[in-house]
Amino acid sequence: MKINIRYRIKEFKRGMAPHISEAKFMLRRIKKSPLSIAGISIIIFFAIIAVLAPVIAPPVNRNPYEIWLDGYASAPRPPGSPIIKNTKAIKLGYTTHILGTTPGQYDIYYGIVWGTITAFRVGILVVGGALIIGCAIGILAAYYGGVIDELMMRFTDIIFAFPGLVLAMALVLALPTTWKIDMFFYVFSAIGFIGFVILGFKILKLSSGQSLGFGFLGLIIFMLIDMYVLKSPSYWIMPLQLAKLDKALIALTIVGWPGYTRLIRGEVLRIKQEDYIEAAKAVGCSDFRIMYKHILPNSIYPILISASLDIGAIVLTAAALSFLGIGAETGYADWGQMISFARNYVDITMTNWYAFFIPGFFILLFVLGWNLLGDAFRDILDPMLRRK
Amino acid sequence: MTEEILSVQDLELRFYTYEGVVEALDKVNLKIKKGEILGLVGETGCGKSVASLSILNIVTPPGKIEGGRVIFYDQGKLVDLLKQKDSFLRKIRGKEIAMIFQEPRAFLNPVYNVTNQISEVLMLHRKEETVKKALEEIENTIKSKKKKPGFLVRYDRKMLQKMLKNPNPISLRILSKIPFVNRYKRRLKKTVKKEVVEILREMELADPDRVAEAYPHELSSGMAQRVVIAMALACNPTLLIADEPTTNLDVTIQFQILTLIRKLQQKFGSSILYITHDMGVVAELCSRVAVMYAGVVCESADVVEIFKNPLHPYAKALLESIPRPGKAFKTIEGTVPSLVNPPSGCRFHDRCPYAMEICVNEKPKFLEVKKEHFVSCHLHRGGLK
Repeated sequence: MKINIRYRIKEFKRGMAPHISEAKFMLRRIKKSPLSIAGISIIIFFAIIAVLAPVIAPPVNRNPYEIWLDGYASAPRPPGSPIIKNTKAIKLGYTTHILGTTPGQYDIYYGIVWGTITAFRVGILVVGGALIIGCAIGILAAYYGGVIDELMMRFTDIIFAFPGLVLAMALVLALPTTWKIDMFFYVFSAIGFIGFVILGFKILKLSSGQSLGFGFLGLIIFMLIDMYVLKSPSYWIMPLQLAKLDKALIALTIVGWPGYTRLIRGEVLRIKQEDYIEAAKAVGCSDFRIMYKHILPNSIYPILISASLDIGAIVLTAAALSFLGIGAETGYADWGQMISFARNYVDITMTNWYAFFIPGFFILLFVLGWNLLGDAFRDILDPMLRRK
Repeated sequence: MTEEILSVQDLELRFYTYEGVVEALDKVNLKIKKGEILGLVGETGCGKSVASLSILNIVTPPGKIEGGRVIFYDQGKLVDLLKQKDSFLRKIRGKEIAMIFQEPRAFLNPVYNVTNQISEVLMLHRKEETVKKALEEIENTIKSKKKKPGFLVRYDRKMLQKMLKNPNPISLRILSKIPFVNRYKRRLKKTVKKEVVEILREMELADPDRVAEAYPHELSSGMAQRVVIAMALACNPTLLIADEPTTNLDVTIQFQILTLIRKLQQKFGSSILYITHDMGVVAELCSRVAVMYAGVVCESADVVEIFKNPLHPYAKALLESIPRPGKAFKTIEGTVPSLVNPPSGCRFHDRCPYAMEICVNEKPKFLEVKKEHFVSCHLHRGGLK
């Protein structure tokens, strides 16, 4: 048995040899540039904070993302000032306000620690969602070309035409806090999707990928019909609660995907002309297989780099939304909102510097970290730059 | 009488470009019999490659097939490939008609290694056999251990048996995406890898185990061409289309590849459509030749016949322009016509030393002049006498 395991490890190592050598090469590249190391260590620092949040800042309220209050006085208090009113916090082991309090007596230290998780969540969810939508639409458009390309790209252009922050703000305000969805909504849209897929296959004789795209069109059409024609309030079955921050996430995703669509479309247009795509066709691959297995892995790298650079920018935008008061709810652990609390206390004397400087500094550090990491990714992954 | 396996009849293909309509193929006729090697000869840009692509119906826009038929004899049935659905064609492509390309390294996907690329063909077209082999291997290991098989082995066996019954059911499609549940795929992968190494060994590669692990950029072009041939022959196709497979190789490798192709052809008994512009290769390898000029097949005959007794003026000129020591280097006067506005009548008339008035006005028909010797030229419009 022992020999078997050893043999297996050896086999595994042999199989992984190219990957291992690749990883070693990457490590060497990273070691060479101090900025990449800085970026990676900043992100690791934040990741550690996020993981250890319940330990280093035990939650006081029932909802851990709610920053605990120490009274309701409006003036901020400097770092190191004692806890006056919140006995529960004292019981949990908090001795002083380590980084002071914001106006309204929210504890800055707690907000910073739990705000890290929020920042990660905002950045990764928004960029991930935008990436999936953008890639799907971009690849379908570029691969099939013609009318499908034209329709999809013009739709992308429409969204691209709006200034990002303004559209995001409008969407946050327009999205309802609770979505009451009746069962017709589900049934109807499912029927629409399946119906359009079958329609595409049988009558229009589209290939699998095309009819799948056609199915999404059906989904949207039937959803619209359901929302505006079949208003039947007696069938409400599931109210979908959206927190304020979730609305901001959805809005930023909707605003964020067109950039990736354009990028990947260009890349796919190039890759689709390559000879190995022709070879894949000659071997008998279906359209979907060609897109997923042959085109996507060849065209994803520039998009991944751009995405890693975007995480920082998205966090900044989300902070801006929170600062304007349409991001997170009041009291939610979010860096942008903490600056927003301190809005009235920013003055030349800088007596209350901690109230806006500390959250601002953390935003700066986080965004800087992701940008440096994105640069490092670019250096590592871009075949044009890497071997120089 | 050997039977035909493919016949291309009056194939017309046009490219709709910004400069105008390019009439790339104009009534192309080709016939390939079972077990023969047909050489398709012609200069660059005369439509050889496009003709081969349209046989598989994978011409990409702006190219469009405008007319004609591509009749493939699929297990005794006549099938017009240009009228079939995509799902049917996918089963033909790679399995019945396979293709080898000019630049082998460009035709291998850079992100996958050789095993992945060949196994794709195997899994697309020979899934059942591979699953059977994997099952056999499991049975053998169970027998050799003489113990009751463990839970995991039994699980793998069950899943593979399920796969054998129905190659792509929805349940397996979902299960294969879940980690740890999809461990049965590993068994299959192992079998496939063995199979791939076996196929590569058949291609006379020096170190098939290492090549199987290699990525395309690690291969020399000779090795890459062998890998591409392995991909094409993995499913024992009835027709192999070889699109200038030896053009970019140096002479020794070229010779090796040619002998390999011939050996494999004799072994599997498949027919080959060999596209080239190298007359030496044609003389060496092919049994019949079709000569193309500006999108038209102008002559088609037995290889000995065409070298000894070429009838079409273009074929004659082409054979004379092969450089030989001690002889003055002859060329064909004039240039290849633009296919946006092809010459009226016979497309060769403005370069033809024997051009007559009728050549300008009327397209010559593709007629059988001698037995098995077809020419489209007004000099030989009498047909079979």
